[in-house]
Amino acid sequence: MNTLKLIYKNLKGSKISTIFNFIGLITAFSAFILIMLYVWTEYNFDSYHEDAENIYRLEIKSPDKEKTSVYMVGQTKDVIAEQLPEVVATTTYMPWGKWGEILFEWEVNGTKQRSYEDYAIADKYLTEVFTFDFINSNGANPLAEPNTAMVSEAFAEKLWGTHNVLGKTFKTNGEEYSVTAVFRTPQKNSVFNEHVILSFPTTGWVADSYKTWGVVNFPEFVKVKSGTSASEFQTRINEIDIVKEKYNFYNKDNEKTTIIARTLTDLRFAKDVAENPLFNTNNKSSVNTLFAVGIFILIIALLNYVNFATATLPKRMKNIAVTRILGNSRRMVVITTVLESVLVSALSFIVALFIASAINNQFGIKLFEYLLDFEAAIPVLFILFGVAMAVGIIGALFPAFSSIKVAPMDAVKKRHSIARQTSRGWLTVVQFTATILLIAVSVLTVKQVDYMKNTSLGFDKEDAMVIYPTADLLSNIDAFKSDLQQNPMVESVSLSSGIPGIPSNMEGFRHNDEFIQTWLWFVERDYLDMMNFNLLEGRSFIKESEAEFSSIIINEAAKKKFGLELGSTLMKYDNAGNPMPFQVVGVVEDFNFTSLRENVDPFVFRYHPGTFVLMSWVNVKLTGEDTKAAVDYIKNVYDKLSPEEPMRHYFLDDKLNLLYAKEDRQVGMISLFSMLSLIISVLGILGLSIFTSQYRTKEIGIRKINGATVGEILALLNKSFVKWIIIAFVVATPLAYLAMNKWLENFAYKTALSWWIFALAGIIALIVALLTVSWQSWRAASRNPVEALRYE
Amino acid sequence: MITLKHINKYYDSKFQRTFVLRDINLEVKEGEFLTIMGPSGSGKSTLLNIIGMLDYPSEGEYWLYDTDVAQLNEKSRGKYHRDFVGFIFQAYHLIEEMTVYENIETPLIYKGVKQKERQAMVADLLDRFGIVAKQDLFPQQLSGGQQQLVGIARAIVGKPQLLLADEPTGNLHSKQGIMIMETLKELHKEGMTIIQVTHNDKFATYGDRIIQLEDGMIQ
Repeated sequence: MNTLKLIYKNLKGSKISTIFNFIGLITAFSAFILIMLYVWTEYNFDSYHEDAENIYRLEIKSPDKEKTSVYMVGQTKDVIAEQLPEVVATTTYMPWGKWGEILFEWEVNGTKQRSYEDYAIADKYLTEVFTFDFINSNGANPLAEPNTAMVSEAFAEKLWGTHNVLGKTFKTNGEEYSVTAVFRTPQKNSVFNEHVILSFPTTGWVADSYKTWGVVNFPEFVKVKSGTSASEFQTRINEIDIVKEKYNFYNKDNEKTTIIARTLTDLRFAKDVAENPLFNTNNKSSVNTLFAVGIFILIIALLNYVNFATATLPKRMKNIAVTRILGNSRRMVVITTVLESVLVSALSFIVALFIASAINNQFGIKLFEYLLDFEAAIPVLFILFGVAMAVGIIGALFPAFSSIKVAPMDAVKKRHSIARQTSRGWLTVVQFTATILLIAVSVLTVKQVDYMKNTSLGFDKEDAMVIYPTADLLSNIDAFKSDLQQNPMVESVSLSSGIPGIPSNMEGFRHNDEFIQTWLWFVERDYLDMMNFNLLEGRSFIKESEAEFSSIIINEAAKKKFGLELGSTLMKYDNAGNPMPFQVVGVVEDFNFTSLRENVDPFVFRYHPGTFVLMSWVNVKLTGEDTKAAVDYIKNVYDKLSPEEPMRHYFLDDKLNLLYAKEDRQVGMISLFSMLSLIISVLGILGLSIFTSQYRTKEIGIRKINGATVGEILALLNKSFVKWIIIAFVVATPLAYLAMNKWLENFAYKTALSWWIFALAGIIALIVALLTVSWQSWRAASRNPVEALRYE
Repeated sequence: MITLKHINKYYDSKFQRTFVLRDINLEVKEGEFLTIMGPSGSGKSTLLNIIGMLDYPSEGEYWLYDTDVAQLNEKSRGKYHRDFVGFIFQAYHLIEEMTVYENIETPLIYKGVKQKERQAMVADLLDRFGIVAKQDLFPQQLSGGQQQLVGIARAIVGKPQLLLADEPTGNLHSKQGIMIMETLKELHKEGMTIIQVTHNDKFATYGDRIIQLEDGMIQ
């Protein structure tokens, strides 16, 4: 009790350092808690599934491709299940909604409702592989019957305003589905985030193609007995004769195609998977970066603590010395000091917990894309609390031991010389090294995102409007076009099967007995002009010519990778096995049809208006004048021709910016946390400068009496801080350079690592530090020297 | 050189005005060695601080030659401290983290004297005061008398015209005190104007004029 009283008095006695310590620690712990929970969540994606470590996604790696593909031949998993005894269950899960939402129609109290929704299709074994938290369910196997659907609680609420929706029906894709299960939202953090899962069709193209060995289309998941080694399992899959035989189609030279079994819990960070947009993936290195940031912030806070404790030491030492002269033991002194710091840390941690939780509730979705689950993370929070306590103890040990090292009488008498010894520049250096590093990295992330949003993509994305097609619209497309053309605000209208950002499908060709795969878009002739693709060689498509059906235009990447030339012939075989030759008539400059994270893959344009009935986008190029009026006009025309469904549209540049939502979030997080670390570091030097000027009060007075001006005193007091920050800058620059290079590796298209990023970071740190320190120094320097000397 | 007319110094509190100095009229001539005496709290140090421009009078005029000190700005005051006046304190007020040499050198740096010249000037004084051997020591390693010698050296190294000494012997035993007073006397002989504050009767006589302060008034 006595000790507590003493601690309370100590804290009250050095008010400035107590306040700064609390602010610094609370800020740091808040950031630390948020970051660590985020990192923990990221690393635990999908771990909530029972036996998560025994669930694998199948992927195919062909020798000629950099990336794996999750599109398997339907029969693959069934063959694996049949041949390998360790397989417990398998399922197909197709998150097709990620390629485009589809129209859902349902009734509420007899009124028809419609909206476009993200969705997935899965077979009836889904629940044998994955774990769902059902609120309501018709049996353990909700998708057993055809035309059934599992929906999330949120989805049910959205459609019917209640989660009691078993037996309710909706229509989509021309089929009627009835709800057989409702699962809890949010599903824990998962790479699957569809809110409605439709049962696998029993008829039609998907059902048929599933049964053949000819179509690669199915993301497949396999659950094995626990104890199965992942690498052995993968080897055994690739040793199955049927698999070898069926997939040898993709073999090239002596290299074989392999099937890869990727653990479910690794999917969140899966890199180099062609269909990653289907799954809710994240970048591992940026999560790790954030982890490092969290550690940095903790270190900065720890250093602050040591700094303050050291700075207040001389004052405190006198008290300690007096109690020791009165008979206090060394042990007690150390215990009191450590206990004090542990209390301060614990209190700060608790406050930080509330602040972190408030920030999470307020900005979680924007910062992290989901809300952190504090409740689920209680064990982690305990660990973090332990870390915070460790910080407290470490922070206290140094001052505790130096306070007992000095003989008591010396401490009473020689306050000033002790004070001088204890101003520790290297602490400031370390803090500012970390801070400058963080500032530099956040400047770079901003620059990279800006670069990706503004760099020329190889086509003209301005004023390009994309309209979702409907069956009605496509059957009336000629009328739609001619109506639109009458409006001077519309430059042109054309159809395409793919658009930038949604690259659509890939296609295989034979070229000189070699199997090659490229992205493929069916386009109308006008599309190439409209988007302003740069034709390098050959010609564009010739309008309205049937002969053009066998013409293709390739991009430079395809030309380089496959050695194609103008006039090269690519072969395809139709269902009956008849050859269909295609001739290269033109080469366009590479353009970025996915995000700038990716390199440009080989790409082919085909001209084939007939294909548009299947799947295509309606592209409208506006002149850019009065966009709103133009859109209204187009809406009018649309409503006439396609009255059933409301028009959905977006502008290409907006949509392309959305590709960088992940990076936008990263920018948000890194900027926020580097801000925080700057604040903590500033608190540190503010405290330090207060103590420095306090202990140098007398010296300042003497110097002024000897003719020093305020400016000279300012320079004297600021000099050392400037020196420390310059050292920090020198240390931080190469570190920042390495970190940035590493981060930029995530992007195929990188912004320049300009020198000014480093300079800017250094200057920001220097200016902020100088302002802070000068505020104190100015007060010290402009004081009347007589007062300063009167203290003696 | 210095003319004080009707100088008052007071502090206002809620209900009353406390006078520290009351209607001080004083003239100090060039080359004079003036001693201000008086009991504790009589306003001696305040008067000295006003003369040294470390404090401001509440009322009255302070003329330095024909300059009205009240009109001086911060910069000119700095110049006055740098070039015109030197201070000696009872508590020496040496900078503990600096060596004897560095302490003496400090005012020259603020005056902007070049390093070569500084070396010569500091060396002269070290020699004169017989503390050459001590130049690399820190103040705490010296006796009180030696510290005060360093204080004097620092005060006069910039060749001020006026030396203000606030109880320069207050912390010293008598033998050391005599040494310091002898040093001041010598400086006076060389033409330096000196104003000292003391309450030691014996040391007061080193000056050629003594004024007595009591309750802020000259008796």
